[in-house]
Amino acid sequence: MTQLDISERLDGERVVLVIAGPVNSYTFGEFQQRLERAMAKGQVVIEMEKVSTLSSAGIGVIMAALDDAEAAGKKLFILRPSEIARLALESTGFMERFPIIQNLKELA
Amino acid sequence: MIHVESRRSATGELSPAEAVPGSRPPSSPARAAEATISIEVEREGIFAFEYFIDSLDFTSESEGAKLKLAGSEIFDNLVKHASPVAGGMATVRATRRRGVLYLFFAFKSPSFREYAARCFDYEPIFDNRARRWRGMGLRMTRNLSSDLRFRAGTLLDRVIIRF
Repeated sequence: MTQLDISERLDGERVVLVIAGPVNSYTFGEFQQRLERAMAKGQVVIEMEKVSTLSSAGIGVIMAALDDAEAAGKKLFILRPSEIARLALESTGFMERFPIIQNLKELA
Repeated sequence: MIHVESRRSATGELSPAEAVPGSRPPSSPARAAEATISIEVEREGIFAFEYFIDSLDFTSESEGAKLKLAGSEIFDNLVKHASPVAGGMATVRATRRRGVLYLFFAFKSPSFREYAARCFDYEPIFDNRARRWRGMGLRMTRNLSSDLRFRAGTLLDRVIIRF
């Protein structure tokens, strides 16, 4: 899959940003724009079940968004990361920084 | 059009220029599998690299994930720090020798020697202009592999990742 596909849906007042495809050095800019736009609306959950790769650039975007959310008193969650996305997050050595959930009900 | 050359051999010997220092010498012949691709060292080349890894028929899904993540970071660094490379291309080879997976990048860049000398000095840092954290790629590659080496050579520069 070479196409990054990003869509949004609402879960109550939360914005669920659904990411499918590669978040790599070529596509991370689009991911960053959509994530920043979603963050302006409120609490965001990034669904990463169909992410086919996740580069350090994409992770750098997520880490910046986590900082911004914390500074604004909001929360940002990563929902069901794919195996490769989870491996990428683990490989940073900062796994404890990423709030991962498997189900939106965990936020209820 | 992406062309991937793949082959299997009965020997599996690494040539002296490619063998990773510190690795154990092979004790017996074993089957080896490998695939090679030439990729343009530019941003769009990352898709060819990802396709190349996805097309390997001698790696498991989890091995492929490691190769893709670690190799992508190396490829990105070549684009950012080693461009332009001679001929605009890098050769990437994935191989399994006696059960051990390797990923090799070969190219020639006038700036690689300087980059290789300082690339491990960086710590993750927030880039205000880019509005994101940077400097995590080699850290990820190191954590995903058992050995990572940069070799600036007279005729050829190489990055060797052993998994």
